[in-house]
Amino acid sequence: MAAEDLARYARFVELLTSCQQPLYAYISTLLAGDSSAQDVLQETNIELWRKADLYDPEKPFLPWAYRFAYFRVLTFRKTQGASKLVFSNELLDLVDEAYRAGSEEIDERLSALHACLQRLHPSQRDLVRYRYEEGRSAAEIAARFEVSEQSIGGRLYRLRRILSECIELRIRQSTL
Amino acid sequence: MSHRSAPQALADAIAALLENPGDAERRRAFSEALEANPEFVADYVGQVRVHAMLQWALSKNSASERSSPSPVELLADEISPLLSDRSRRRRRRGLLWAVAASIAVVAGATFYMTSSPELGTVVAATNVTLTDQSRELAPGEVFRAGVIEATEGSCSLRFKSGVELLCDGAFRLRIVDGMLVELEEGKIRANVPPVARGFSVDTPDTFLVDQGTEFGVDAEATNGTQVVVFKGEVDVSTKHAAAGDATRRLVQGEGAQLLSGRAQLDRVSQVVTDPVPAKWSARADGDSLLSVSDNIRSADSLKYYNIVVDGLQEDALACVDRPHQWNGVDAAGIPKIVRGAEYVQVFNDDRYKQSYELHVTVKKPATLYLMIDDRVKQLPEWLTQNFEDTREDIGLDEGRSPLFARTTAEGSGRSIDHRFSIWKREFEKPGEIVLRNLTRRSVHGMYGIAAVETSK
Repeated sequence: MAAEDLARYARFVELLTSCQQPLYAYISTLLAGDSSAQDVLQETNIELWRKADLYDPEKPFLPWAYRFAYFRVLTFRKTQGASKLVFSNELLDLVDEAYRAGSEEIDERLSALHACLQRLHPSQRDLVRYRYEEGRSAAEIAARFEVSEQSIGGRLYRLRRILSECIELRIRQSTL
Repeated sequence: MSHRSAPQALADAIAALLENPGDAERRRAFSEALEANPEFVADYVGQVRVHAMLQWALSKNSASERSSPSPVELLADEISPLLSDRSRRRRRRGLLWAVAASIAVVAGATFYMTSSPELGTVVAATNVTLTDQSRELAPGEVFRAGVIEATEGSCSLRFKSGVELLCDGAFRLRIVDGMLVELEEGKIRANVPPVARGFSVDTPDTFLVDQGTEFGVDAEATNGTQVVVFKGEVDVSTKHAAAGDATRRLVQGEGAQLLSGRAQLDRVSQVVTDPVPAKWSARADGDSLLSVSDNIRSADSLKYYNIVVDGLQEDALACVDRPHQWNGVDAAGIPKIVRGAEYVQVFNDDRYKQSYELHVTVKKPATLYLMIDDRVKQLPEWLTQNFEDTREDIGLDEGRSPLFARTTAEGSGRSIDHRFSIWKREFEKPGEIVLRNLTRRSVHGMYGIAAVETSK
């Protein structure tokens, strides 16, 4: 392989590696959190590699990658029975549009997430730790603290909302 | 991007869906709620986006751990040429594998393996035979695909992918390529760096795919295979199970055994580790001073107690389910009576379980020590009637994630969160005692357990 081609593929690997989180989040959103998101991500990665020659390095990588991910999601949906699909096709398009409307500034978002986590109340940080760092389910956390699973689910919902708003605020402030 | 809050029913449905997306009823409830309120799609997107970011950034299997610091060099120049066609066919999961396989697809023959590439270096070897060449493996030499075996030996291999493999005792190991080994018999311990995630071990009963971890495998021709995860995660596929039930992910602190010909993974209740030579055993007849079993772990749980030989040193991990560490309460260090003792890493989650019973077997004449949290004011009779307070204390450094700007400190007398009193009971001959719950009336940590052989 020529040095020029190798350098090109090297750049492609860097781009592909750096966009794994947003691609995962995007696929996970379109699949409503389905655990198959990781598999679809891998299929997307392989597809991106196969089409690497088509990528124009002058253009942003992520929007280009989202399109492949979107079609891999559609392919995945075809393999599922209709009863297993969470979204209608129309709703899927709405979700896709809403997601990509705020899908830039990935590094800034992750950075903002860490900053926002530091601002949480200690009890909220504990909940983050139990749920995401230790990987416990809401049911396990509920059993541990002798509260209902719905209560933990509600707290997690509010927590994610607080974080989402905090991240959006930081992104807006950084672009002013 | 600001948006209104979703109505309660939709909020509940989103929360429930993210907890269990595979639940058909929850999916239907969510779908109906969102279809009825499409103006709240942005709220849903915000929820899942943050959910996915938290999963990605914080989970033990996080992307930051997975990603390679120099993916191009490692993937193109190192990993891909080291994968055999056989290995490629077997692996499916894992970003690195996907990328590495794709590199091979894209780059064509340039990156394919040569007939027998160098796979790594032998760090240490004692009484290990390189079967194909009928000679002993030598420290410092490079190794390639082939079979190594020993009747009583040990070796340490460092793969180019960064994988460290320790073999111990009687074993026969076929090195297929840089990412796959076949353990026909014997015991190995693998330390797999994030960049080599996907490293696999094939045994007669199981197929293991590393998901970024340190794990041990013990395969016996007649007794099946045992798998123990020390850090991270491993996917274990059982070869005798029906499709769909064949794979289970084990996480840190979990161990499983698969008896030959069986389809079901069973719990390994305890693992004995010896940190200095990095030896371990999940066999019940191990050479430890203590053995333990409880009455509460169901067949669904694969968590194990970790018995650490000579392990009670500064910063020793106290629990299998927390980052807590044992330390001396001041500069004098851990009290001499328990310093260097064999100890049990327990489950902190068990501390408030009323029906909890822990059966502790002391196999030789020894002093059994319990470390009891000083926050417990009303001590139970099972403790006061069977044990004696030594008036010595040990400290617990609870630590937390670096994320929360607080972590465990190194060494004695630093970052001590709680003091524990050391109680003792003499066993003049081998015996057993049942330990129970302390109390539910006060906040406290789980007790610690240690033992020192009388003759020491």
